[in-house]
Amino acid sequence: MHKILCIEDCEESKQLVTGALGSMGVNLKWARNLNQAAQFIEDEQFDLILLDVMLPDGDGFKFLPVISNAGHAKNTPVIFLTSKDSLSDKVLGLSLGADDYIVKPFEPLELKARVETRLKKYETLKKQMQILTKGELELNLASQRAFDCSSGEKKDLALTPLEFKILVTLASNEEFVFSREQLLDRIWGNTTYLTDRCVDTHIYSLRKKLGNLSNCIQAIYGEGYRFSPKRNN
Amino acid sequence: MRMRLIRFFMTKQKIKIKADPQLASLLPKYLENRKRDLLAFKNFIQQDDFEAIRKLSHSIKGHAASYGFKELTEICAKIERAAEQKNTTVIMQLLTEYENYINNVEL
Repeated sequence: MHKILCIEDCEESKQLVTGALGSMGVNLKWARNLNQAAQFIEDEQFDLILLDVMLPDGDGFKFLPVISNAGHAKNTPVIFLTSKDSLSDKVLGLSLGADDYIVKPFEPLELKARVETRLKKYETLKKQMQILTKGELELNLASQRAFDCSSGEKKDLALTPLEFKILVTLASNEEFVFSREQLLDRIWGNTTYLTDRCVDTHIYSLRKKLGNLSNCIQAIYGEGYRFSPKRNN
Repeated sequence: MRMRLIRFFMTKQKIKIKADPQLASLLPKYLENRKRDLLAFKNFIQQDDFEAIRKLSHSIKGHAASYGFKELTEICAKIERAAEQKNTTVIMQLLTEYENYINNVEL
């Protein structure tokens, strides 16, 4: 399910957006102001951001660079949804890097169509870039590199090919508990004879390199390992 | 749209709203809130608080037409501009239009 962050303080507009996008089966998260939005963006990954301009604690135009500079949100599409309808405002919004600019009052069907288009493009982009994002962890399948995005900047974790393969296997199956035997089969194949403690050694090394994010790989006593990215409560 | 407003002011006919059926249940509450906003506008104008008038009219401008109140969006766009120019006379005239409109809307 796609996750959309809507930065909007007006109740009536919220109802309209909910009405327009509700049938798409998306998960809408609401931020009433820019401070709250900044916190959500830091904690979570979104597939799209709808951004109003006139907000109680600031200007949406000035907030766009904050999104662009946030490590894991920098590729997230942003659509301005605002009553600021002058040509200069539209040009400003788009020149700042917004993916679209929708003027309020809007036609619900048009909003839905534009949001769907952006979500499809973003999905395609992610596939092209072969990027798997899990919480603050970004895995680039094309370059086989893993990045820690928790500090706002992308930090290369410098994983070995085996460590990367283990991480991708676990991360692609979030919350699934892999036994050591299953990991041996998937990573090394069933033609090599290795003891299951070999898995523990690699997981130990992998968790060490993950640093602050190491708790996303959890050991389940007597069972194996599972991947569970940082959750926002 | 302007003709519709002029016709209304001349004939005092009720104004029928064409709203999205999905929003129909929200309209009574919506209209009630806009009546509450009118009181806020009057309060702001007494205090010469043009920034508050601008913000409120900007907000209503942004959603009124989507709920089917196209004329209200038009009136609020004008109020917003008048507030930017700190033109009390024009704002007062437009608030009369606003009041006439919301009191004659038929859901």
